[in-house]
Amino acid sequence: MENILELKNVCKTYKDFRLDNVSFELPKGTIMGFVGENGAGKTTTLKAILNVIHCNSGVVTVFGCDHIKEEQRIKEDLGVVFDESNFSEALNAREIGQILQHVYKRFDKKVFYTYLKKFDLPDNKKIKSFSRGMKMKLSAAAAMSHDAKLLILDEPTSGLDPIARHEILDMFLEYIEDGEHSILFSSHITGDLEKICDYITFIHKGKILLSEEKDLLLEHYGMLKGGKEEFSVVDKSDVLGYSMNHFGFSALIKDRETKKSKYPSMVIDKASIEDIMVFLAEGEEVCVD
Amino acid sequence: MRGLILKDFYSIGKSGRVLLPMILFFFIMSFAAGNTSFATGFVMVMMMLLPITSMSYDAASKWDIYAVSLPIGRTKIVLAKYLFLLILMVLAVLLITVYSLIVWAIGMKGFSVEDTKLTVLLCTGGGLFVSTILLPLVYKFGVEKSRYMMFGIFMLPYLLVIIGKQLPLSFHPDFSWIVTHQGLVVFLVILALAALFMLSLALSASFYRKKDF
Repeated sequence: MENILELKNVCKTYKDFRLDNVSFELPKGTIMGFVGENGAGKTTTLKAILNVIHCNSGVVTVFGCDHIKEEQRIKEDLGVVFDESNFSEALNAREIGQILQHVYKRFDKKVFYTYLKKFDLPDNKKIKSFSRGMKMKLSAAAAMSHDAKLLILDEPTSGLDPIARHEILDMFLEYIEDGEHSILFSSHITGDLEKICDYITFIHKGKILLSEEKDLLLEHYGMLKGGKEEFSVVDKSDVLGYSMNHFGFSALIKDRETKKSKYPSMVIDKASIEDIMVFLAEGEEVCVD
Repeated sequence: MRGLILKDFYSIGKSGRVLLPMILFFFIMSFAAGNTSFATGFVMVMMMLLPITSMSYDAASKWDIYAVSLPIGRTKIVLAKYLFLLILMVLAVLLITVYSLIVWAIGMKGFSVEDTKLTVLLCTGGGLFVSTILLPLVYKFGVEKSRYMMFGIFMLPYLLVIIGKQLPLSFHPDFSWIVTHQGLVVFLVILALAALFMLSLALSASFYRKKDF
């Protein structure tokens, strides 16, 4: 499958944080969930893709082109939503439409107004009077009205009520239906990612811990559970992360089916994206000893 | 770039709506006082400050990170702000010209076309001079930090005058050549301002290109 986005060993160093050799690929026509805790490096990675920050090293390729050499051409085909509305609160939706019409060659006012209608957004009211949900919907409408081949969304659903989240997620699913559009979607709301994503990339402390197809991830990973005394017989090389409580232990493992025969007396449940995220992140520290 | 200039006009729309009655008030007061230069200065300063106001709106809404993600380019984003300044300056000169024509038509006592021309020239030049110094500072340090520097820039001419007044008369430079070579002085000032404008634009663009958002 053709990749619409590729990152190879992208590094960016700040005083107190480092994006460390970030590499992953996003196939065309798919949605990738970019997951990680607050401060893991999700926004920094998206900024690096957009050349909003200058990377120290690494290569970013969008639509097969270098993201710096062909920056303007690439950006004609990108739609961006950041975690808050970036439009002045003194503007209204109609004015934003007029501004973007002069920015994007293919900006379609009709499509923009269709989204405004769909999202029930007034075109003459100042953004100042909009709720957070309305602002995010407006940003999404602005990003999807110039037939962008790739949407880059930075936590577009955080802080939204379930209904608004549902509406926006459905709109994203609709957007990629034709197989020509792709979405890179950062979030720490794992429920949203499980609902719409084809791929999951997990970043932790500036490093990519995994980047895989969501269905394979959910199929392969499992939660091994047992009593406290049983933990001593578990092969520690199988454990990617674990937690202990009064009743026993829970450990994240890979190759769920093969492990069933290895630990027949223990329970192995499916692991959710949240389990994988939490245990992989914790595992780094907990399992060292 | 047209989109960005449009955005700035929409953003300052509210300030503009407040500004217009104020300008009108100053025009009337100036007329009543028999001195148009005060209104001219006021219009210029207000118009000159609008790009900075728009930049503070940009900072508040985190516009720049979005703007840099658009297919425009960082240099053009800066260029659009400078063009916005120039458009406002032209608007200010137009406003003052219309006002002066009205005053001239009414026949205000003590109104001099020559004096008005000189005031407009001085205010436009002064406004452009201050803006071209201020804009790179705003691009480098942000609107908040630049506010204090702005006071410094505004105070500088006053300080020079105060210091000049303290000097003995023999140290005072002879400015009579300005009057005798008026045409040449105006030409040189315009040339210097144009050069300063280009230098300021290049500096701002260079700061903006290096910036991480």
